[in-house]
Amino acid sequence: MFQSIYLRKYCPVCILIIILILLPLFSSEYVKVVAMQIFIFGVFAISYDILLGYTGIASFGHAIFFGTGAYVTALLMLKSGFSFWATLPFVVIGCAVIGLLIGLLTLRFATIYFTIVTLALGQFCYFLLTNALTYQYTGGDDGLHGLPMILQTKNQMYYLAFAFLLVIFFLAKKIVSSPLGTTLVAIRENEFRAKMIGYNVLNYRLIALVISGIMAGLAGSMNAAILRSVFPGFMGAGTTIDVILMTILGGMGSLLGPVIGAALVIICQQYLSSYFEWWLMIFGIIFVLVVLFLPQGLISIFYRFRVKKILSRYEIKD
Amino acid sequence: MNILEMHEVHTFIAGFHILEGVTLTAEHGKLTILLGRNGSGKTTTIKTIMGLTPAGSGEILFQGKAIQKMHDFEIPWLGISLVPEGRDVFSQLTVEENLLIAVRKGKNITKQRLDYIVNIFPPMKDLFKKKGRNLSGGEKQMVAVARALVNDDELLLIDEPTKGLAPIMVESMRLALAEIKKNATIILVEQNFEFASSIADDFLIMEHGKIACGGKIGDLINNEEMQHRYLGV
Amino acid sequence: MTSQLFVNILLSALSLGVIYFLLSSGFALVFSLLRVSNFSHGSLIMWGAYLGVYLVKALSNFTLGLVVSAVVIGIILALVEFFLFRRLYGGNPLFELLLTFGLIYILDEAVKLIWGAAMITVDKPLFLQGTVMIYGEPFAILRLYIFGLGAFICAALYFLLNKTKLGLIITAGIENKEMVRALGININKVFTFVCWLGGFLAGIAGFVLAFFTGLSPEMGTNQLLNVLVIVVVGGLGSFMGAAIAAIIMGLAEAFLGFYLPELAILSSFIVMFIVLGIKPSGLLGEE
Repeated sequence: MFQSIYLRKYCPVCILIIILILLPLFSSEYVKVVAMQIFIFGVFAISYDILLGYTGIASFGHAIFFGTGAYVTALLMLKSGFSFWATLPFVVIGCAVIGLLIGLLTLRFATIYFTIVTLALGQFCYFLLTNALTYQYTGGDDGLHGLPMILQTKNQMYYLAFAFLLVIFFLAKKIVSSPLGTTLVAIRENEFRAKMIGYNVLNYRLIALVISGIMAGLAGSMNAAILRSVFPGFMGAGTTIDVILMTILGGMGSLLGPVIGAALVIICQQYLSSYFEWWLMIFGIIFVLVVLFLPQGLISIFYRFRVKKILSRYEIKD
Repeated sequence: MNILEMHEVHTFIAGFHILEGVTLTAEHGKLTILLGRNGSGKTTTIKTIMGLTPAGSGEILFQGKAIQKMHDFEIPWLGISLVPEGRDVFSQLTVEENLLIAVRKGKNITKQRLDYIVNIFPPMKDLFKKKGRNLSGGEKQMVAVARALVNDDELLLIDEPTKGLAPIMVESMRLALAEIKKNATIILVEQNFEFASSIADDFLIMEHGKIACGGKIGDLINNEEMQHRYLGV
Repeated sequence: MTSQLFVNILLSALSLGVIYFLLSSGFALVFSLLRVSNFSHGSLIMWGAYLGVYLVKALSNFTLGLVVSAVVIGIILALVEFFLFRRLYGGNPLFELLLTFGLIYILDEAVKLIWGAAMITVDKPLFLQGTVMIYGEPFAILRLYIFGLGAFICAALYFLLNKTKLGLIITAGIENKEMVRALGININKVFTFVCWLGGFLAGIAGFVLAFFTGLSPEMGTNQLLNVLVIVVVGGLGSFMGAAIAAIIMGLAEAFLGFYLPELAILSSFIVMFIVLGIKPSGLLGEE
């Protein structure tokens, strides 16, 4: 019976994975590009979920990591001739250091301070990128272009991005169900109690920020490799806002929810915006309704429905 | 005649069952003390009467009227005032403003009433222009009690007025309560048994979110076994 | 630097500070009592600008148009408080923040639907055009008008918060809401009023801002960061702190703009890092 529940639980996911594996065989180039964006922003949203959903701190400057990853990769590939893979250790180290710095600077503030200060830091970094002084390195508003292809075909890139999403997803799953993950949730639920038990709350939050930052940075690198260009917008408030929308709409604290949110937001951006001029308003209304009535996001509808179905099938009794 | 009755009142705070069926009565014109160890639910009982931690079930009657379903801000208008445990004197306001804010809409504080308050707490008359944050612990307690007096209410709920006070301040608080008692019914939460027994008429002892026993204060003073069992005196 | 030039920069710095004060006062007020960081404040500012300019034209009366529009913006925020914020009190403050964040989309898109997305320039009314000579330097009448408006609003708010019963309740409520309720005061009504007032201030600020930036759907959200930085620097929850921080921001921006123009855009960050580095809770924030 339990095996059967297990199968039922993972059946839809397996079907989805198979569909996504077969997708490049019959889809247009455009669909592939959109799908790759979904995979990358899925990773970015997962990294944000670790911070917001599991640790309970709302950063409004998460794009700093995404932008850092993208720019580190682009600069090393273009200016120093590194291969894509050789840039990744630098991305990891760079994002970890930035995460530590931001964390040490801002995590001692109360939650709302953290939100505002990270927002300001994000804008600060954006201005740094687009400043006249850094133009010769960053290309200013134009960004950097012409990164070498890292794989031969679009299909290979597609599978790489998809594998990247799967790897990060299962890694994140491992992290949140590890002792570290459960401690983070305990701190989120009752910071005072966690402190009294003897947990160093600041350290745990710092670790969460660094992990989340590294994941976001890798997503940024991957985005640079796939688009073969980087833009200052990667670091801008718009990118942070996108990831917040994805995480909240999909359902924070579930890892899968943010990925679904990423798919939803990107598909809407790609397709709806050309049909409805005022689709953002509908988006805003849906967002407000989700915050008010579905704080666990759209994925919670699915969960509720499924739990009911399983329960009714097996009639679990006390 | 009972001014206040509680029947089987249960209160939950953040999922915790704090009051587990409190049943009590307080007689009109009397001073009833609510005794009991830390965490037995005394403060929650007071807050539940005020509607600040609403009762989950049960009935609270004030002068025969059920009040458990009323909003917290409606209950004081019936004639109930609270002196909370932490005193909660507003630190950004002057003492005068602390009294003024307690005056209910449409009413005015009369000169007589002010004289009555200053008569009870003589040191108050020099404090009016002082900000709450600049007061000493004893002064804050005075202001907290005075704030509950501005409306001439029938029932005063006073939570641990002697907590952390110097002995001389405790004595002046005792005199003040003895004076206030002449015009109002008081329910007093107290840990200091000596202080409480010197001014009380009736007593109630709480244990594990319930009233364990109650009666005339004289019975408790003469019953050392009961004191020992419930109060650890 | 001549003293004439100094005075000139100082005056523009101060008028910039006053504009910042107007922009952030509503946010600071709402935050101090409700502890809701209203991210849609920028959008309300933008609405104040569009509606104010429209109403001044429609009613052909400058003051009346300004006041009516500010009152309407106030009502928008009061309705938001009554129907939306109220469902979330006592829960995770994150959701209030996210809610106001979602409102940005609704408010911004609504403006685009009504007035279009294109930038609209705003002409100053005749009586605000021209300059006067101060200390031998020309100074725009518009800036003098803004000084006056800022001083008037500051004084009115001071009076309201310190000299009225309602002000006492607001000050007391910032500190301890439960005790205010225990005194028989329906603090929810006060919340709604404070939101109205916060919206009213945003409306006025937006109208003033329109003379400098013109009308565009982004004009408000562009100011949101400045508003947030000012409120954090002043100390979250401290209304006076925000006023002081606004003036400091104005000074920093004007003087940095003169000496190191390429850093002027970063002036607010520089001030923020310095202040928070020395005092993490902000200028007048409680520890």
